[in-house]
Amino acid sequence: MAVIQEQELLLQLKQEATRKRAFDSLIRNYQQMLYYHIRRMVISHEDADDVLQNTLLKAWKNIERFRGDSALKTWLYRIATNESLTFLNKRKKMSQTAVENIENDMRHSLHGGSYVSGDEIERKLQAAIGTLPDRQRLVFNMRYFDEMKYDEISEALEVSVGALKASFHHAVKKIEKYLEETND
Amino acid sequence: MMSHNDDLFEELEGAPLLRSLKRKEVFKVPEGYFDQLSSDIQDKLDDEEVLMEAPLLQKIGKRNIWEVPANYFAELPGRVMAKLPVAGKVRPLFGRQRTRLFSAIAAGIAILLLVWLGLRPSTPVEKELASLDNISQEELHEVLSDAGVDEYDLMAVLSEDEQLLDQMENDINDDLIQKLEEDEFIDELELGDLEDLIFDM
Repeated sequence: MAVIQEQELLLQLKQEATRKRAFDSLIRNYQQMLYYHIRRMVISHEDADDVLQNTLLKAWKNIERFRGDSALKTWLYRIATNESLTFLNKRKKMSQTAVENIENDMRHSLHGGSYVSGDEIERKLQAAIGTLPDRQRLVFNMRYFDEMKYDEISEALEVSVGALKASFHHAVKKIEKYLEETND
Repeated sequence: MMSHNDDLFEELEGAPLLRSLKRKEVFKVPEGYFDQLSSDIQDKLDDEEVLMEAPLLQKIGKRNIWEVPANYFAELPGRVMAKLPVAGKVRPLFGRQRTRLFSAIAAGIAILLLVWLGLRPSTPVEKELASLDNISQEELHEVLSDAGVDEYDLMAVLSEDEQLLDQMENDINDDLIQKLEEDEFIDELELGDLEDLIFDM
């Protein structure tokens, strides 16, 4: 989104009379970017839909607190990331008591679940990414798939650029190793 | 000796309108673009170096494999807009969330009281209660079994408690942030662990 357009949108979001219409535009502008960011973390479409809606509702409730020190996109990424991590943590806590296996769930969503295309090797890549710790997975997805700049990721995740580069490097190594080991 | 500008001026002799126009760069770039450019290129080169060591990953590519139901993105804005809180809704003084905050504060006081009771010398009644700790696991199983409570029931209750605690923790965070906002203290406090502070950017 162009800088001027974003400034105009922010101005409309700050004014009560235009806020709702502007928020509708915000959703239309950023929904796909946020959806795929969340979907890569939570895997299933149903979970991604829940997390995305929570993200947008939180953005609405807190829009007046957005000071504009960063781009709107970065702010939204930050909320979406936080919502995704909260969702994953809750799921982990639940699985400890319900004796479920999250990895099995993810594998099921990737292979037998609905709304996933791609061939065997593309799904294997997602399985490899799924073995990474959550934060490393985030960094890898944001840099590799979303092609975000390290500065933007740094703002969204509050992690130094150096640490992000190291994290990306480790992620690539682990993924490659997984692919080598499962290569038939 | 004629300068480059003079050359150009002569060349444009047959185009007086063009010659009269001021030459000015009309293309703009985002703020800080040229300051950032060299570091962006360096980052890309670093990534390329890392990816060179991962030929299998490179071979797979970046195609989007995630699909959505038909019309999902067309319908989502409407679904979200319908869920937005109604503007101007008055928040009751002792609403649900506020009651929860008071409950949480009461729970905190109760914990402090328990800690204090634990630190001071025991009374005979407390000694009696403390002796419950000495009951063996087998005896505990027997008591629970007599009461018709099995381990699955117990685990279900414990996991429900954990969910309730999680919910309570979230509600406390929400209420605390609301209070902080009201008092306009938000910028002066360093409460990095509070989830909701992610909104201040």
